[in-house]
Amino acid sequence: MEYLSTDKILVIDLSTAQIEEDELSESLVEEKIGGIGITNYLYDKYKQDDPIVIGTGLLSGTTYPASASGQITAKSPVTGKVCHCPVIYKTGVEIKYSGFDYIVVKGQSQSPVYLWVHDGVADISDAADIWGKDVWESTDALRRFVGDDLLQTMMIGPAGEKRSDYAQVCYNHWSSPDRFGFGKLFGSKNLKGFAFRGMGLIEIAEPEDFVERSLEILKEVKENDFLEENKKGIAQILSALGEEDVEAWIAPIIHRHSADYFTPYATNTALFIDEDPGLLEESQKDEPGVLVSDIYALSGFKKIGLSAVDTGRALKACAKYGIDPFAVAQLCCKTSLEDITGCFDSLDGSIDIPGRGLFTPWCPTGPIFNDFDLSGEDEILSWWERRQAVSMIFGIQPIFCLMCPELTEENMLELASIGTDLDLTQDTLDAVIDDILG
Amino acid sequence: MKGPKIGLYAGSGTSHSWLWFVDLFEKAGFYDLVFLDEFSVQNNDIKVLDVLVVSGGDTFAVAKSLGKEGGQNIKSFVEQGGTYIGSCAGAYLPMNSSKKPLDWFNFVDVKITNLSKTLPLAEITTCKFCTSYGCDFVFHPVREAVALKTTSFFDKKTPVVFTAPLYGGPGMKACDPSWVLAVYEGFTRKTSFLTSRKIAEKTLIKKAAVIRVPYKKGQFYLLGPHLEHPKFKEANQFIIDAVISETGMVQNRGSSKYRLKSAPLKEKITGKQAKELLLSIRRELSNSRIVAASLEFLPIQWLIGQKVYEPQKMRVYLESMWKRMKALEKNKVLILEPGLYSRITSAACQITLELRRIKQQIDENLDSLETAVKIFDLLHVLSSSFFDLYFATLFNGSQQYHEGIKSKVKIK
Repeated sequence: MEYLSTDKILVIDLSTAQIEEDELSESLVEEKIGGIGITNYLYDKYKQDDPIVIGTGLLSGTTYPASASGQITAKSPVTGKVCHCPVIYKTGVEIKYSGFDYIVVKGQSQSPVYLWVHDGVADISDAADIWGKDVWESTDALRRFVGDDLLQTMMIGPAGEKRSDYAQVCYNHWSSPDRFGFGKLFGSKNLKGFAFRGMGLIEIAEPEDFVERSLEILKEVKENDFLEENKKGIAQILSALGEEDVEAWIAPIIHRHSADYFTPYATNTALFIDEDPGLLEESQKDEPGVLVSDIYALSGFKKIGLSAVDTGRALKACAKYGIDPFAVAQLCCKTSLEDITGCFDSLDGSIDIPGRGLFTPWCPTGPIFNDFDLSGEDEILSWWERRQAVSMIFGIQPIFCLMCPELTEENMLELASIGTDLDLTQDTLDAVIDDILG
Repeated sequence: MKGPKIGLYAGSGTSHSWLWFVDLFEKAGFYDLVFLDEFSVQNNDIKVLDVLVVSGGDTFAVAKSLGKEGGQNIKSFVEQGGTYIGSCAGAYLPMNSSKKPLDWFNFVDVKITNLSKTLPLAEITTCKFCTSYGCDFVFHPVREAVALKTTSFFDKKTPVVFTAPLYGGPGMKACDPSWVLAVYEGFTRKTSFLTSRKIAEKTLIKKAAVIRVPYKKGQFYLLGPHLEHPKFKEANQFIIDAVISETGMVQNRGSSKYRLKSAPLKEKITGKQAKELLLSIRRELSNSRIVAASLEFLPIQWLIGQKVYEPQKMRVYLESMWKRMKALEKNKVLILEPGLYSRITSAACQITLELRRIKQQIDENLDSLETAVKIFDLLHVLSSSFFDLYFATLFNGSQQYHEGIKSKVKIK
């Protein structure tokens, strides 16, 4: 596969420490397109080894708007279903830049390891120095060791090592969309996580046409009212979903909003809890705050009565421990920060995964800012599952996909076809989605 | 048609500019390249060459490293018919000088025009403006692209104007005007003035930029600007034309006995061993370039000898190897001298370690000069070893090589 691709599938057997590379064939892309179309296929291929499959969408890391996302596909140790979790921030695209479209991790390591994936090389590295450390310490240690602050990580913390049902795989320092207990799965394989860094480029079949069409689509996107009104951040998403009071509550500690790779809406908000939120220069404090992408965790802590500052502290503690902050807010049955952060190891209960249970409810289960001409719960849920599948086939930021009707299946297919020089049709996409949704 | 055997000095004192010659000769299809350090010049390994290239860098450091013996060997090489091409520091090197250790290299009667007893006022404060030279100063009035105009040496009818970048190289005055192949014709929009335009014009314009000095059976080519810079194709062609003109592409300077005698035995590695070597090179080049790229965000530079080095220069070495990895990986058979395998893997691993060390030193505000010196030395070792492997592997199969030359003597 020459275009929009690194042409490589990495297969790592943790039991034997063997690393193999397969080529990504054009025929597989023609049949499954990419993203979870292919991670799903690879999961099936290796399912006897209980694999974790990491992947990127066909458009990930390109100039198509919001092409920011990667994916983890694996069987949830909590629900028992094969689920798909988006990889966000800058981590998703780094997977592709680091030289592999897909990574299959099989088996279980004898001792703790992490996978250092860089420029088309994968190393199984001893994690003795970071096993037992929290997510922040682990990420910092790896960045120091490799000598690069742009290193992107997918790490578990103590929750994953202790195999908590609520353990998340975190991205860099931050909580992730993982509501499936993938952190537990990593822990059970003695896999502390991944470190990604790549300085590669992605080849495009018709680069001028691709960029030109991308920019046309981006222009259409930016003409949408919610972007013209300069909306940004997590609180405005919650407002659009009916939780208007969050905006004023959180406003005093908002430091900045940040967007995932090439995403026109900033879906993340940084809260400063140990530093002046008005600070316009780089903070000298090691841990001035926390970056939040999980709107329901934020509102969950608010609902149990925490102040905005204590919510920030709770979210930070969850990120460091590598535990799902939404599960903590839902299941802790505590009302003080101290009690909440002290109950990570004693949570009990389950959280609802909507629809077929394939996609994470970290993502709102309906449209945001635009109605997409939908009505009725069934229609909305059905649309949501299809939209999640599409976003994770092409590698589009999954929350932004719910905001933006200008990102259509048609123009994703069009760009994928221009970029790959393959004839990717709506029929193919429909078949891939049917396959994913079962 | 047989290609010239070209030696590139990649030892102590050189900057990254010898890598530009590698690009240039590869594009021209000249794969018979030998990478030399100061010891191989002192050991007179250069006697088997048709062309010896000394690139930019720190002239004093190059002279000191090569030593008196190196100087004598270069002199003998040219006397016996070899062609010396010196660019920038390599151009200063063979000029007559009373300063030590440059006086071991008093071969050509060419004067420097950018030499002054009183230092002109620098209009831009830059550490790259001047170098003390005894009681005088070698100063650099401009940097970046300048316009050159050929004289009648190659083509008597039509002088050609082309551009090349000047990064500290000399303006020159030859005692015999017929030696001058090109003069500084003017400045360009990209020329950056480090002193006043008037002083720059007085120092450079109509002064010699490229000189060919006949020397017994051979000749010295002195290039003030970097004609080998990969972004200046016409300038590149000038060098290729010079090499072809001097070596005739078919001549051997009667040195076949040396070739046979000193040609090192090469071994072939294949299969798993070749794959492992390539993977280990790729792994360490990747590790190194990741740290090296992160160093570029940091406000640091090192004064090594008389030359200022920035972190960006480390990556130039690494990228010059990285961009050739795919081509190398396509070969199932690797050809290399005994000992090269371990030299490459050991240097590659050490560079990663030292780069990671220097990043920590800078982060912790510790002195990093010693580590920087070590890294640049290791980069010389690794890149010259890498290119030995690369060209020996690509040079495998003389038919392919000769066809390569025929089709590539025009730079595309």
